[in-house]
Amino acid sequence: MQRHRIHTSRRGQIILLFALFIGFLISFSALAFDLGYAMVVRAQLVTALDAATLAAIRYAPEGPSAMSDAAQRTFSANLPPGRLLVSNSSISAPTITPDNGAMNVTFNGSANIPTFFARWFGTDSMTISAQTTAARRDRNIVLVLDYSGSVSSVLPDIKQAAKAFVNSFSDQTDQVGLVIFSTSGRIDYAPTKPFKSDLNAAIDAIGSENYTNHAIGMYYAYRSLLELNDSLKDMKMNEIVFFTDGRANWFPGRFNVTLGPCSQPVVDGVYGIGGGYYSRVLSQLAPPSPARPPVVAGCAGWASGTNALQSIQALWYPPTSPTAGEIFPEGIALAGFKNSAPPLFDNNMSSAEREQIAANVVDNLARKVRRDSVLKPRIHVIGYEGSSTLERSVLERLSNCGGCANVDATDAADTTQAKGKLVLASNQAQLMQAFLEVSGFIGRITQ
Amino acid sequence: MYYRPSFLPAVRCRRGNAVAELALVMPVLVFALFGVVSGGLVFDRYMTVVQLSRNAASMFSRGTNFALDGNKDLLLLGQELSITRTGGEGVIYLTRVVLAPAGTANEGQLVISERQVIGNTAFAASAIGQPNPAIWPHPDKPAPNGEVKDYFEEPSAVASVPATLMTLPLGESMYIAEVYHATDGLRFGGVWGDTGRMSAVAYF
Repeated sequence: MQRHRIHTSRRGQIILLFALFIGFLISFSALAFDLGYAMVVRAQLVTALDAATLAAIRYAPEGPSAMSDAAQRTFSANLPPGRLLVSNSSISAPTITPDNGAMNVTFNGSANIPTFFARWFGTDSMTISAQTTAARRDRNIVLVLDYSGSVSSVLPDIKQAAKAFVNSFSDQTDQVGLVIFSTSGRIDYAPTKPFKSDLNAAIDAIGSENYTNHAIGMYYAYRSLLELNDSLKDMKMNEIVFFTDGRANWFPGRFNVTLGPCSQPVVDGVYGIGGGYYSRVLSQLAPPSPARPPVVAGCAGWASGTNALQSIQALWYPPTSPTAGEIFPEGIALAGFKNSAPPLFDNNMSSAEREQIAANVVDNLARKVRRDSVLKPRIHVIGYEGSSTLERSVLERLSNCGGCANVDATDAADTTQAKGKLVLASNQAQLMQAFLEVSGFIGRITQ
Repeated sequence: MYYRPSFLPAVRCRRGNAVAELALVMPVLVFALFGVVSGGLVFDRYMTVVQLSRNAASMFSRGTNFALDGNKDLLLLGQELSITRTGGEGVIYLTRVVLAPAGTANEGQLVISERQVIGNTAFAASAIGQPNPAIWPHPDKPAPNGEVKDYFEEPSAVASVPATLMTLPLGESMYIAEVYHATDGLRFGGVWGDTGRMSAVAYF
């Protein structure tokens, strides 16, 4: 009978086993399903935090509360309440820590989710949390503005756009400066911080005059970055933003002059190629600061129609004044002429040929600037087409943007050099948009 | 599993008992196993979709031009979904949205200034909107491009986006990636959205 009782107990064995193991089964389901669901929500939470952190970094110039607002807005767009059954999703205030020429911005986010199986074991909800950090490198920015005569009609718009541009950077972390050029050029406001009130006033004070000399603007932009007293500048982003409204028709140069009273082995100057004459004008037009090069005796200038230039030779070496050899000690030649034998330069040369020389000079100078392996400057170009036709290919080369359709480094004209952005404004109304597109582009770079 | 002494004839009918019990329990077991496996597959697929949307929006917001085939391939590299440049059981819409300023026809509304598409457009339409073919891709710009012409003026450029984004400041861009992909029939409730497909969207 005892044996029989044992046999009776075997009846329903599978169901009994199942009843024993159902707890384990449900536990594993809970693990598989609830944790899987939690991982999905976490993936979305990380998306929301990534987006929020990048948005906050773009608002870094406006301070922590603007950063918080931008982060909150982006976060809730990505993870609104109810999405994926999420509740109480929240993002912290930013934690900002300075770090060798950069700022690290960290956000914590969390969200509650319900459980489907684990609730049978007394866990009704779970809290998912994640953290993201992004670094914003401080910026050293030089805005180069063309104030040649042709911009006069749109100068108020340019000033407004330029002010919006500089105001989109941070007074606390970024250093912004201004270089202006027409026939000649100068460092109008050396990069520094805080810069906003003084730089806005400097922009307001600009008046338009004379011709267009791209190379002198590029030269002073680079010079102001080099002279910047900032021990961490090699860790920061060094950007040159170059605005122009036309083709260059003047250029700085160094000539050998061997004629009459002007017999000089080397003469630095700014040379014009418009209006049917050439003139050495740096002495007349250069601002008193940083320093005006001395006038060469008997060579104050050349007038129209003279053949004084017929023995001018070889251009162009980058300007070495006021301190010789400081920037380009090796004296790299930046332009050449189509004719090797004198006269290299004559009054019959067409305007187009003269513009090509000026373009050649600034192009070579830009390449030289980008070759700086310490500052690694990037050059961005804003072109305004309202007053004259731009030479797009020259501007593409200045910004090294290649096809300019995207920011991939592999698409650059020269892949060994940093690639910038080129934005063209075809009318007055697009000026603001163009400047803000470049500031937005610089603001978005986070590496 | 258990030892049956040969002198017990009654045991024969108990063997049938066990089979019948197993038959009762089997559906529950199979259902649970199937649930765990298919649930895992759906979660895996959905996480891939979410990550793809994040990567796409992140690249797009940094200026990657998805009009170029090389960049499309770069995004699709390594993902286990069936999306290709112009086909597959899914589609990725990339949209740049800006605020239309005062004095324009679309004043105060968010408008689509750029749109790129990767994958099979017939699979799903963008929830944000679709600029009509006259203005997208931009007819005056060299192909391939994803720019929208006159987006401040054209009604079809108006974007339909969540109200939380309507505070986007003037001059600021929002980069949005929407990813739609087939679920291959594995779905649970309404969690993954429409029948037969799952979607994820990232706003950068």
